[in-house]
Amino acid sequence: MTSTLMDVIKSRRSVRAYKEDAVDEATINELLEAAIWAPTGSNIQAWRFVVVMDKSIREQINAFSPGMFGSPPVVVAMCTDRQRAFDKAGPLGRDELATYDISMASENLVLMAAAKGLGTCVIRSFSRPAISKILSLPSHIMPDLLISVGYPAKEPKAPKRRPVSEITHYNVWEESK
Amino acid sequence: MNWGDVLDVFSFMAVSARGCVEEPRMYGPLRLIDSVSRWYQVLKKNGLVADDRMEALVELIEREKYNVMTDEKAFIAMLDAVVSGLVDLQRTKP
Repeated sequence: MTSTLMDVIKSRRSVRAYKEDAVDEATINELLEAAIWAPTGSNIQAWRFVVVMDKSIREQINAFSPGMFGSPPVVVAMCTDRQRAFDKAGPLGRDELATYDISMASENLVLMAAAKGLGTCVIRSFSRPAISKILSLPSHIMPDLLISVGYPAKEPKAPKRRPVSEITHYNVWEESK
Repeated sequence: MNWGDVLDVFSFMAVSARGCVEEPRMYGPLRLIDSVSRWYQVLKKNGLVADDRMEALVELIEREKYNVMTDEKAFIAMLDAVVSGLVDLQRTKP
């Protein structure tokens, strides 16, 4: 049966319990290939990725990431090169576009993972200084988000979504909503 | 007691304290109750504690803690239930 894009979007969950099964590097590269086809403001492409599979480094990341649950076999640090963003698009590139871009790249990654039966969780609850130190990041590379990746041990329930009709305005803002 | 296990909880608690400066208000209660669970699991792993009633409370925490993001009332009800359970444990502590 073929999954539509909407099926994949609706099947994606934030997974917080993983099986121990490893995820191979070729699969991770496919996820990253999806990530780099995200929109990028002014084509700055300031994203940089650090893929962590080493157990000892994953454990260090875990210790400084209260938002990371379970023991995912792979953690991808979704980083941005703030210097490149500044060089290509000035303060707007450095302070805004890079953040939007890495968010959209992250969405591509988690959707591709969902399409492949992998679980992911996008995490911001971590210490940036600690993660920078653990991963030996240079000062112009910002760890924006962490994404845990692995085969889900449990499928979380879908949280309710606010309906489109409740949050959408056509043409002008309607105060009644 | 395994020093690495202890260090993990220290790190979790310290970085949580820092995170609570900016994170959503309800993440403070989440990190604190998660610390209870983590401490219990470290103590259990190191053979320093075994208590069925506390075990049940930790299972409750692990089952319900993610409600913080989707059902705040259920999350708070879990906190109340854990506190109530701890009162019972206090009454009978050695």
